[in-house]
Amino acid sequence: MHSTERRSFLKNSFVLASGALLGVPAHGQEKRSSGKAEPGQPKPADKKQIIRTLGRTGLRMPVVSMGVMNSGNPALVRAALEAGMTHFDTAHGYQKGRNEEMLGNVFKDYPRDAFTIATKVQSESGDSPAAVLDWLSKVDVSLKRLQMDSVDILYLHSVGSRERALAPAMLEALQKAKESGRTRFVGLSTHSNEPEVLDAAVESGVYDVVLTAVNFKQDHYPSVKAAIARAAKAGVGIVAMKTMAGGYYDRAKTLPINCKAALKFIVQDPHVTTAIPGFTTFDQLAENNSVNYDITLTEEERDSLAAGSLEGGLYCQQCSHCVSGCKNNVPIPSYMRAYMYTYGYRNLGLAHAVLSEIGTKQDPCLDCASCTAECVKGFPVRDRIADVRRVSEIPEEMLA
Amino acid sequence: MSRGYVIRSAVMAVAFLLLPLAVMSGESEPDVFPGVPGWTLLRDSTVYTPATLWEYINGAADLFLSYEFQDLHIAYYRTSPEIEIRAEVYKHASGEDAYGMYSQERSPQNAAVPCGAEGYSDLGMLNFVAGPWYVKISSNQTGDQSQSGLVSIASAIDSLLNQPHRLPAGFDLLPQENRVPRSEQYVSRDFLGYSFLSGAYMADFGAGSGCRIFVLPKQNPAAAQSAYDAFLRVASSAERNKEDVFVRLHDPHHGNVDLILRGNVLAGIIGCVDTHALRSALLKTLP
Ligand code: SF4
Ligand code: SF4
Repeated sequence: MHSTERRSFLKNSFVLASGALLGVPAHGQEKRSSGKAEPGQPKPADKKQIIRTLGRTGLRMPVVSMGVMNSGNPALVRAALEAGMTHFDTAHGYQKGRNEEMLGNVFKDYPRDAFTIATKVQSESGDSPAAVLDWLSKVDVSLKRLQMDSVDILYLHSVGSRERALAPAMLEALQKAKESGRTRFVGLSTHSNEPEVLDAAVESGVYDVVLTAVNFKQDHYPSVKAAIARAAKAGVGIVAMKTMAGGYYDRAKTLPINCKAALKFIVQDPHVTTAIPGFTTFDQLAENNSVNYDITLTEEERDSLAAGSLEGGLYCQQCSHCVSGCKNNVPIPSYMRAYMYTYGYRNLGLAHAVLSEIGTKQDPCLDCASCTAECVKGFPVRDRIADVRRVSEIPEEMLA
Repeated sequence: MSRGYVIRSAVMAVAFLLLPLAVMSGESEPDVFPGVPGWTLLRDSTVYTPATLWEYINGAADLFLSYEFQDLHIAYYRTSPEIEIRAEVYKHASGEDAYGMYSQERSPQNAAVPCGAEGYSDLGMLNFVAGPWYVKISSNQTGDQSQSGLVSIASAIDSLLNQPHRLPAGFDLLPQENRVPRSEQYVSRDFLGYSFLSGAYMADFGAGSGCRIFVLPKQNPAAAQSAYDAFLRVASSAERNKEDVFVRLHDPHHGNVDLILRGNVLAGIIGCVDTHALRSALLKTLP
């Protein structure tokens, strides 16, 4: 065997063995093309857009919409409209109102039925008659900024409990907003205690739509997914946010999430009508919009998510909580990062580089009777250190 | 010094850096809330970090994070009868980041206040930026006492922060002539929707004309050249008259852009029909 071939054979064997060891789950998807659009051509010409109905509202929209929160760029909103996105999500508080104003200036040039718009208004005045008036007056400010008489969906912003979702004053405010024509439909947004809030939204009989945080990285993803299914079956439209889970696995932003894969993963759930990623570039628009034409996860995308979603299993948050518990001051986060690179990214080169920085090939736990380092995610740090340390013994030239 | 010691020290240093701010003792944080005569100061013990800012401002947190938000301290100033003023002090990684976030939220209609590098006020609110701090002061009450309280508290915080009253230096590359006051913006990334354009200083020129000039000072000429080349690649056309230092490109999303590369600075004029005067003015401020 030629030496180069031999190197890659050894490398692949190790990687394959790693995968087998982990038993990385597949999501039962067939392998198909990614449907990636070329930059500047966000609308793949040869594919049909995937459109879903938003619960009992009957609103129809592509599976990927635009969360406008991160972009004050009107050209990007126009480009999204022209690429076939039709639903846009903003909030009273984004950019202190500049976000709504920017959208108002863009949308005034389009027919009202060319798009649907949702805004969110938070209630800060408790559960009282004054809170109703205060909230409705903020809604009026939003409508003025948007240069519209009515939005399509008006959310009560940031609801984190059943009690808040069912607060009588806020239910009254939402109904008044609908009756007065300020909005066609009402909803709530939630990014904490999502299952409880989703169930309460159904129980209320008031909310037409729930905008919920949901992503493959959530520890409680199964219960969020189940609650989404219950709400969807009750006719509540589901819009997904935070699908990309912050874009990185770690605080230091060294481990990027495959955002397109994360988006596809969420919209593969037929109970989710649309997701609202907050893109800021034309290239990201093209990439996100390609999902509107093909939600199938490629093998590579499936692998990257599977590695990250093994019940939170591989991805060390680099929080360093474990460090103080280790009597030998072992750089556990670095070892766990190398472990992630090895089994999550299947990138032995990166893992080797991290281990080289640590500077020793020895098992640092050898003289330790029992492990006292506690990982917030419950990782068996000692076992993983012993396992991944072996990568440092692979000659560097084999990893080139 | 043993290798183990060095590694241990490094680990401890990394561990320290990664500790959530909320866990760290308040002693290491500079105090950002001064006492103000006639007002009782009540500090909120919660310090928001990049990981928790969304708990306070929901989805608006994303934009703060893109401007390298570091922490948020909150305090309340109370006086009788029953006036409460909330002071929020957002710290960013740099003066540019703080100004960038501030300028994303600034309303052109609001009245200027002489606080920090720049500030403005409206009924029940006063915002200003000072060095890496973006300060927001607000009250639900909008009477005279509350309004004057906003100003006193803002001035006291501004004095305590003790930052130069000037815009970030990158704005010096923009002409002064015809610049619309308080139209300056700093865009940290994805300027004009392009990932290859980061760290842009921009301002409007000639009120109501739609003309804007932007400058992107880069670390070195090669980085500026690379951004310039990338911009030319997305253009649907580009032309340059003989001996002209500007190239006019047609951007598919933004129309005509007059682009110039000078040393480590990429600059351009956008949204303008007649760019003649702005070109001359810009040439005087570029390196
Ligand atoms: S076994 Fe646990 S406590 Fe002991 S050295 Fe290893 S990581 Fe540290
Ligand atoms: S506590 Fe767990 S997640 Fe945090 S750094 Fe240690 S190993 Fe990683």
